[in-house]
Amino acid sequence: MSEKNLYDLSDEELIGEFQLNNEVRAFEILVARYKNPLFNYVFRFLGDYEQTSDVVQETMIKVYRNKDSYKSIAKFSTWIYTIAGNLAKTELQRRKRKNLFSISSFGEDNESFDIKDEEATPDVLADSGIKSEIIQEALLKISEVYREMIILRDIQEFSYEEIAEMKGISIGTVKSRINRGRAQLQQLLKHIFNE
Amino acid sequence: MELKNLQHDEEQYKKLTGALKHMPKVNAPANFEADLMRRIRQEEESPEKISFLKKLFSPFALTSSSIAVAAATIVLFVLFADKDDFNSYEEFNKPELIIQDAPSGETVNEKPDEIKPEAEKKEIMAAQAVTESNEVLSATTDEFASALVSKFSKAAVRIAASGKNDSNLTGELKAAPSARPGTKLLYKPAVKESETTKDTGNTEEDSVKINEVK
Repeated sequence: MSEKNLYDLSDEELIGEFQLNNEVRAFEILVARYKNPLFNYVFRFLGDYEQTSDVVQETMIKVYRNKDSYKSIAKFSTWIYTIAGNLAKTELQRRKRKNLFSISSFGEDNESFDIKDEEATPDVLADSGIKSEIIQEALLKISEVYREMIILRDIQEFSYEEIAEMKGISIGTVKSRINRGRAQLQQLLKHIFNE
Repeated sequence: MELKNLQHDEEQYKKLTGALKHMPKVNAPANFEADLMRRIRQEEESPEKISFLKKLFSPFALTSSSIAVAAATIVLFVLFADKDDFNSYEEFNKPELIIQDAPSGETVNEKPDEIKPEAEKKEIMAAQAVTESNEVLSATTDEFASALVSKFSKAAVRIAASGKNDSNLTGELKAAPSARPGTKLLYKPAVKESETTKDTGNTEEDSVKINEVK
């Protein structure tokens, strides 16, 4: 298949091409299509640029290695977001354990600790105002489950059905989690929106 | 008033969702794709490291280890399974007669060499019952032993005097030696004594006196 034709294919057709003909170019097109949306999603969830880069790379590698586990009954976007979401959660858990260990070992060796300024990356802050920073901080404060739902619905703009499919839960649960997450967020950001 | 509050909440809600929607998009670094493809190529070239657990539970390892275990079991069975010890059901189920605290102070554990007939078994059981009860009473001391000797001699004298043959008692007395071969039975001298009294024609009182003197 020619390069031009590959660009015209849908995501599902591209992954099919990669599965059947081991067409690496099809995979590269998928990477080009999804790298930025996934980066945005994972960054909003983790709040760390370097870790986000690792998670998104790992997601793409998983897609490459496990291309045959994708079934055409689901949308490709749902599948790749599910992988990224799971890896982001794993990363978050790993970070929590690491922080716990660092805190518990603090004082034993008199080590110095560099606390990363997670919002200070110039790439992130180039086009964003102070409001976005505050919203991002608030997002990181709410429960993981609600945060994930709000990012998928309000930032990535997925439908309730797609989110339900991604997370393997009912639409009712998705709606209820989104509402609770928004309420928590509103509580945290009331000083901004009351102005 | 309530309507105003609701409208206010609704406005704030819209502001929040609008702010979320219009948050600046975070993009991947420029070299993201190049880094990714390089990493994929590196992983394809270098062989995958297999963890110890994966090696341990790999199909080949499992098959070879199970074969080794089976072979070891067979070898052990062939080497150590003694047919005389393990394969004879009858031998395994033979009753073991354990006689403790015999008058001589010795403990005798004896297994019968062959399975005895039914009648003899009954005799053995009866004798065992008598000797066990006697043993409980007599314990280990010589005093108890001598007391029992006198007790049985009296009984024997009484039987001799009455001229009746107590089948139960004689049965027990007869059975006892066969049940406990090689042991000295407490009542054996008494039987002999009764026989002597019968032979000599002494009275019961005389024999008791003899015992007391002894």
